[in-house]
Amino acid sequence: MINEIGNIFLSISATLSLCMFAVIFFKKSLATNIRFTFCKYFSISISILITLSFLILAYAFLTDDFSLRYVANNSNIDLENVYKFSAVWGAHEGSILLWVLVMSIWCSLIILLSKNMPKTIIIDMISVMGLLLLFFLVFILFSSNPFDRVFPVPLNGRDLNPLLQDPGLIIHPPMLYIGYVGTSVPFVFAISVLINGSIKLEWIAWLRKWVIASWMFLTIGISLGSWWAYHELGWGGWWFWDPVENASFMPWLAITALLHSLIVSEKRGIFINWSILLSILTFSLSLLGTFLVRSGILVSVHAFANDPERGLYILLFLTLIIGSSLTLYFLKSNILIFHKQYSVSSKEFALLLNNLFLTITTFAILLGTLYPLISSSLDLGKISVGAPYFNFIFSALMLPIVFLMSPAIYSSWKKTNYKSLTKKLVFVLFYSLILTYIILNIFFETDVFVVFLAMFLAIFTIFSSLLKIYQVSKTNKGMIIKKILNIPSSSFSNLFSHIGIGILIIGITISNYYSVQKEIIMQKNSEIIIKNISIKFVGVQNKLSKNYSSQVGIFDAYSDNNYFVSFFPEKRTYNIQKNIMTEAAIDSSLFRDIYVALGENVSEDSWVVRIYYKPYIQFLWYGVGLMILGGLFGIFGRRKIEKKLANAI
Amino acid sequence: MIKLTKTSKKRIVKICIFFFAFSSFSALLIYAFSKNSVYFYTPTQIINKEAPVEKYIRIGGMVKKKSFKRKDNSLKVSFIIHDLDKSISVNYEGILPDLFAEGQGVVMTGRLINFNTFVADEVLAKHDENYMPPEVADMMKKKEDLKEKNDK
Repeated sequence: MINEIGNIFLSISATLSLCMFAVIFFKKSLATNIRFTFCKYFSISISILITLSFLILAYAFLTDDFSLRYVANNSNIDLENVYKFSAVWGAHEGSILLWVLVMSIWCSLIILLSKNMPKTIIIDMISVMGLLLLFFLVFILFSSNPFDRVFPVPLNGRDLNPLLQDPGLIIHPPMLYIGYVGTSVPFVFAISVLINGSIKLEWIAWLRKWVIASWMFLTIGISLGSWWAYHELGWGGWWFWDPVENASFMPWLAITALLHSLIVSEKRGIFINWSILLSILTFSLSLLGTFLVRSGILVSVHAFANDPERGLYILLFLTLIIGSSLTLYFLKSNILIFHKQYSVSSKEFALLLNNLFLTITTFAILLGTLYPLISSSLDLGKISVGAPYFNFIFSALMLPIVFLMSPAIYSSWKKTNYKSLTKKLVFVLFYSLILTYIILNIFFETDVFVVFLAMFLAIFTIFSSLLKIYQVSKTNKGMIIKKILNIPSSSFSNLFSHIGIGILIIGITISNYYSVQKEIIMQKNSEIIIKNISIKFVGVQNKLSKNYSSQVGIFDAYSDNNYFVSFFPEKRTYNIQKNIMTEAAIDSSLFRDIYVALGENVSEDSWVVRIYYKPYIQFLWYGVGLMILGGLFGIFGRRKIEKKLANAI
Repeated sequence: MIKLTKTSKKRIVKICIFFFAFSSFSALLIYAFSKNSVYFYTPTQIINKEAPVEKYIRIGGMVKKKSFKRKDNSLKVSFIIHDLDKSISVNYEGILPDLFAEGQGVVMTGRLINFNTFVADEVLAKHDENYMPPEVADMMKKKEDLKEKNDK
């Protein structure tokens, strides 16, 4: 009974979304205020209804209601409650439901947090959002309804994919979806602005907060995915250039570019056209990502549901959205051009290059991801484009972007004084070079050019950001603490994220080039030495859990003959799906991870064991943390400025 | 001589820069692509000598039952894969993915040393037991269709 209510709620929300979309056609016959009120109540009721049906589905999972096909396929009586809840978005139907849930909430937030925006723009944004919601709700109701019944009702469910039974996977999809769906905000903004044919710089300031928010969630989502892969897949890797990963990475690159071009648009009133186009492209990439993941047409380690029909629907939707919005763009965008001069040494130019390289990188990744599809559908042979392609092209294109960060930090709008810019840059460049040389020689004894280059770029970025913070704080008056507190939050935001990138690069480079990896067969009571740490294989014990049984290896680690930690890597066999899963055991500290994973049992007492020593891998997560901190400053630190603006108007 | 105004000079410089950037980017892309795209072959294609020897390729098939051998307690293993029709043997040194088993589908990257033997660098892990690598599934379906036709 209750499940039928969930279904009905979804149908009502679909109808309401249709009504919300229809508001756009009553521009002449209804007053703006009335249309605004309509939109407000429509979007809030849609959010409430979808939230309720989402909760009903969650309730069905928690009470083991296997009469629902979706629950029966993705849950089990013995599953832990946390995972029963996260199983709601563990497969196709539920994750699309999560998608519309997030979208309806974004939609309500737009309308609730739009005080300083003109109502006509917001109404059109919400109406277009209504169309998007309608498409996804229809998709849910007709081809992937989580409330579909199954008969006869099975006694027990088929269990959640064991790979998804991990803490990292509880919050990874929601975060990613919030980010994905967040890209629809600049998209509907772009459409609304194109329809209305006017744009103001304050609007861009308002939009930028939304873009930062969605960028932040996308960053969190992607890094959680990496973190999960590192812990769960047992290969010690955290990024595989898998098509599904690329599908989330492309919108990230595009939205990062958008973030930067919006700064220029807001501060200088130029690149507006480009920002609008980029907004459309970013959302298109998000949709493309959903299509690639959900249709199962790509060869991927993420083996999700393969259903060509669903893929076809999303593909149609995708073509429709991209096609119509690009047509609109080319018809209307010429109204939005502002002409202003800027010189090659200006901040505008640096950010132009940033956008150029980010877009090219996105394109190169898109090509590598889609080419196998194109080639196999045109019968040119089955090709796969592997990690080496992406690694090469990505690092080649990232070098200039990272190198440009420091000049961009020091240059100013319109035109920078060449002399002072070069003076500062040469100073920072010189000391970063020396610092890099010293660090690499003392700690790593290296002469690999790539490592030197990457480390230099990272240090260059961090050093110039820190110096900039110092310079900005120097102009403030008062005590040191007051000086730091008075730094404008926008510079904090930019500097933290850039330092984050620097730290991320250090983490990636060092962990890539100086990892020590051993794959060997170990006998009981034998020892292995890895980087001054000796690891002893004590034995293997059996363990029984609620929904899986596992073999737990016991390893003791000694440093200079002093015991310091034990590792308990597991090999789990899940009862229902009979899957074998490797759970690696990791000991993390600031500068290194030790990673132990259990392989096959070769003979009675000997096991294949995989041990990694990964220096600086933790820097990856610290870097991401700093980037997110930068994002937070970007969103919340700007309130003061906006208040001033509002008062002035 | 045509005299160029300042703006048209600037424009020419801009166009030159653009072309330079565009062509170097394309060159980079083509280089990376030609070096790193890997072709997929089936055992039948390999036996028919349609695949190149000593080149990095991908192959896939089903692991033949009772063909798995481990060389005296080491990481060196060998097995045979087939596509219902032809079969070739595979050598590999390293840890096998959790779901590797006889009778299951598998995809590998590596090199052929001759038209009967493949040396794998990487054996791909797949997520669940029901899952078949799409390439293998596709290949097996074609073979089965062919067999049905022949039976009729």
